[in-house]
Amino acid sequence: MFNGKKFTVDPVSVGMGRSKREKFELLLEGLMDDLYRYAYWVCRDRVQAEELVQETYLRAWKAIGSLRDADSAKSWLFTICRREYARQFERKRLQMQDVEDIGELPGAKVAFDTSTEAFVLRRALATLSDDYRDPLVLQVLGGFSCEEIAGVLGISSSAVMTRLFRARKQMRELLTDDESDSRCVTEVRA
Amino acid sequence: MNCLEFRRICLSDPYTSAADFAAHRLECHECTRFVDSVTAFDKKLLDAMQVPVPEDLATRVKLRQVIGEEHARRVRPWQWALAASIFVSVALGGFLGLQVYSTNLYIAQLQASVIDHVNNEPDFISVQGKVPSDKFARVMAAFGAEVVNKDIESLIAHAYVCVMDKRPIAHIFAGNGGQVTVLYVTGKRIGAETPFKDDSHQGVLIPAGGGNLVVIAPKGEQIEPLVTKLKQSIRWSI
Ligand SMILES: [Zn+2]
Ligand SMILES: [Zn+2]
Repeated sequence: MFNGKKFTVDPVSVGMGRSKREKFELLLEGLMDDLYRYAYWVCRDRVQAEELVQETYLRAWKAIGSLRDADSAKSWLFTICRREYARQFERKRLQMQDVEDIGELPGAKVAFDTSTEAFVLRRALATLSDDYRDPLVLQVLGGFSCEEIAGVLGISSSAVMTRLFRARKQMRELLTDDESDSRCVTEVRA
Repeated sequence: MNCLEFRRICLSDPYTSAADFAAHRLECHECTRFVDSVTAFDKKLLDAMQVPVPEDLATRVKLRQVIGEEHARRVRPWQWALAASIFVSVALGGFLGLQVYSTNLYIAQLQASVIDHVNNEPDFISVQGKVPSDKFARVMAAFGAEVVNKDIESLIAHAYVCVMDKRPIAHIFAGNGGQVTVLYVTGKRIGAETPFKDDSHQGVLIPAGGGNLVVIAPKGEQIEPLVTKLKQSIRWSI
């Protein structure tokens, strides 16, 4: 029997600095789940979300030398993803899912909340315009500050504040219109 | 800061650490309740945002990156120079003989790796039931192949990205009960379809895309219908 290693090249170990690979592994292990979910909520399509994640990491690998500060790694990665989405947007928009499909994610496995309230929230979130949903997902799911969101989206902090305010206001309006689930929303008593 | 301003900020940045926001929060019960309700709502929203992440996505990200690097390496100038110098020396030393020799060596080594891989596939991999409808296509897509005839999915029991000789490969269980194994191995593409067998297995190597497709089954198992179907159903872009 021949020794396979003699004739094949391990592509992972050739010509790459260890630290570059380590950085990449950390970006992958620590941030991929959040990045996938962000990508999903940006495009609301599982297949496209996967493509976005793939493309984001491919670009991240090429540009990883420019990443020096560990604290900014997450917003750096999300920014790459957001730009990639903008690039693909026109090409892919016709394939986007209908809002009604959002609650029925095929292939769902454990720990996926299918309760009515989560369904209603997902539906409401999907109904928001992209401009409002995007900063809200970055804040609630990504845990980013308004300044970081401004960086990812390439808009001013005050524009981010305005969009977040309108996003939450719209969510409340959408959910209070739906009498069956008005408990999702707390009333504003000014 | 008055209550109206406070609530406006609540809806845009309830997590702010601004001093005047914190100060109003301390002195105003109504607004404390309001900001708590906003953050409680955010928690529910966060739960609702937790869509399931595909389980093999990290592997496929690594695979894509590895393939991307290989692709980039192919065009490095020094490699052309090296390839050219090898070609010259090979030409001097008797080109045909050496090429046949190295190809036979590669085929023998590939067969050995494949049989070894099939014999050592862990038991925990379940071969029951049908592959999720798009899983086969997604695995093949990671290797630059497009499934153009979805009928073949009825013959696939399981498909995933596996590792052989430290390289990512597509590993597919096919046929009734998954007795036929199909592997896609990137690397040197062999010249022609090559059948092979050992005491307990029979199979065939088929050049495809940027590598070779391997179909292998226990001795006596029919593989021709699956081979025909595979050829009709997969299109290679690399
Ligand atoms: Zn107040
Ligand atoms: Zn395997």
